[in-house]
Amino acid sequence: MSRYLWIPLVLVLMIPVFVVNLSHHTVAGSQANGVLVTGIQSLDSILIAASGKPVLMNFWATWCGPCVREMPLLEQLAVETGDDAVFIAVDLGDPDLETLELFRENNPVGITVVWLSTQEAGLVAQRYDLADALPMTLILDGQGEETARAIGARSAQWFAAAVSGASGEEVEQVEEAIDIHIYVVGLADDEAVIALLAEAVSIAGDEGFDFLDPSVYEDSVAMAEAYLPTSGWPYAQLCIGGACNRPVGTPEELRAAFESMR
Amino acid sequence: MGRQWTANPPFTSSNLVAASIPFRIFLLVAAVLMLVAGYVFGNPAAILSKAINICLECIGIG
Amino acid sequence: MHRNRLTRHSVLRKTVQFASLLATNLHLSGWVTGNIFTGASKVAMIPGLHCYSCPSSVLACPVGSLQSILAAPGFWGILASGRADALIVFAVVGFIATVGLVAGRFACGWLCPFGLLQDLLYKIPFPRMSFNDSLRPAKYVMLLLFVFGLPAFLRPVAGGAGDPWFCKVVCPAGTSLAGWPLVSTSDGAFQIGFLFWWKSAVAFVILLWAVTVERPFCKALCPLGAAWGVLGKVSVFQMHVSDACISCGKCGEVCPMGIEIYKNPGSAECIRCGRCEKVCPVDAISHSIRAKT
Repeated sequence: MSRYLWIPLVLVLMIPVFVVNLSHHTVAGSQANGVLVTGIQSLDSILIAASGKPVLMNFWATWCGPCVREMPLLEQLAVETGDDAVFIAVDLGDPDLETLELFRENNPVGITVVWLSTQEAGLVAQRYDLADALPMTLILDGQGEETARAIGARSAQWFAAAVSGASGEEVEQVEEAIDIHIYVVGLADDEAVIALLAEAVSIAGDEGFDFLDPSVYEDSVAMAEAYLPTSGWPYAQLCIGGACNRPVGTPEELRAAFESMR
Repeated sequence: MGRQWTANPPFTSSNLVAASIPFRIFLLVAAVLMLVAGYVFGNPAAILSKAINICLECIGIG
Repeated sequence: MHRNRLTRHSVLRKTVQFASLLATNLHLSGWVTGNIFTGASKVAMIPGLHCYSCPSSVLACPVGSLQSILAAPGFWGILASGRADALIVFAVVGFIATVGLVAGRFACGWLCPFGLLQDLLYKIPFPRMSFNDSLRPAKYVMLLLFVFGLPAFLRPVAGGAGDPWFCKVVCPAGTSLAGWPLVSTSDGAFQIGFLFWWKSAVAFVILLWAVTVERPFCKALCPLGAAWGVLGKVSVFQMHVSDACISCGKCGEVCPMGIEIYKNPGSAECIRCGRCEKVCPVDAISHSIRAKT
């Protein structure tokens, strides 16, 4: 007997393998895939379109077991919630888009999936101060303000409570002024910039815009901190709450972006 | 003449390394080639993405 | 005379071990902020067991990388189709094989941060316990089942991702160097449940064990040690015991792995630390690439 002491040692260490496997949720996943889009701009467009509704943003990766196991919970809640909230699964851990596409062939993901490259994932992680951990879930209210955050997997009850908590606040706050901010980026003596600035003031008021000149060092630092594109200026970028529209080049486009967000 | 064993018991065949020097060097070279080929044909970001995104449950937080 | 030689050798080995620890943990600010390092150096692996979720780690753990890659959804399919995400597994296996085929478990004795931690814990004055040698085979099960079999084949959801089971339920290096520091710096943001308490208990028992027994984790449980021990049978550098041996047993007394090398120089348990070479009164023990003594 004493020659085989390693067997009880291994058996003891096997206990959690059984415990954890038995405790896994057995909720069936979706039968069909939702939308798959790529890039930060796509993510921001979805956030803009969701303005006024609570948003559940789940950060995941195909290789993360707990992430994949909690996905059916989110899909089910998304079906139950219908149009009252927006669910986004942000894949920031698969450097190769094809990995995600192959995964979705075998494991349909019913909610909208946004794929980010490693570099974009880093930017988004900074923007939301993510904890380098998966899975991770952020709940944003109708104004784009974070109302709850989960590091690690959660139960269906937690998600449901967090989403309804975010929509509860929305009712009283939706009438308040929406926090509009416009970044205008370009060289100070450029006529196109002056036109954009004029339109920005008329939309967001004297306090609601920032003018940034990429040729000035402090401004380029501020641009990096605000995740503004470092090329393609002059442009203006309209943000409502935490959600930003894609950059536009003319006052007309800026006005159109503002109208579409209202 | 066979090998002269001392009175000490330890010097049995286990003291001899069975594999020849060229064979052992061949194995090492093969391993290095596998390492290099893995990085060249594989996607190093597949390691990186796991090393910079902690799967919490996977390190026992959960 | 041989005692002085052993002391000098110990200083050298400790210096190398600490240098390895430092080189792996250059991102020291991570311990303050609670954020892990996310730089590109993490494509490279450390020759030892050291969690890449440790706040200061700038390298990847080979055991963790291997399990994570094997646990990918549909791993065998994407490997068969030759996709880069799966082919990287050869880099990890090649890395482990390369280290082991140089000199077997030398990395355990000279480079592994968790080996160093156990060495330091054993310096704490405390009553010593004996180690039951029949526990040693468990590490081969750790390698074959927890690092390879379960991550590669166990799928709680068909077609979905598996789990790195060694990291998840055993690894004390992950718990002590990543789990505990991350939980303590997170202001309660993490959900702590069964797994955390289980792994904390495992890590606590192993660390306590390491105070009373020298390197118990290396002896009984380390999957890297298991792989390198087997590879050490055909590694380029080998230990040798010459006919000059007088079977005095001094080598066994200083061996951190509790083996008697004069009985079996090619032991898979030997971590090639070299202490026996320094303490041998007749200089019968040596290492070289020779095939025979």
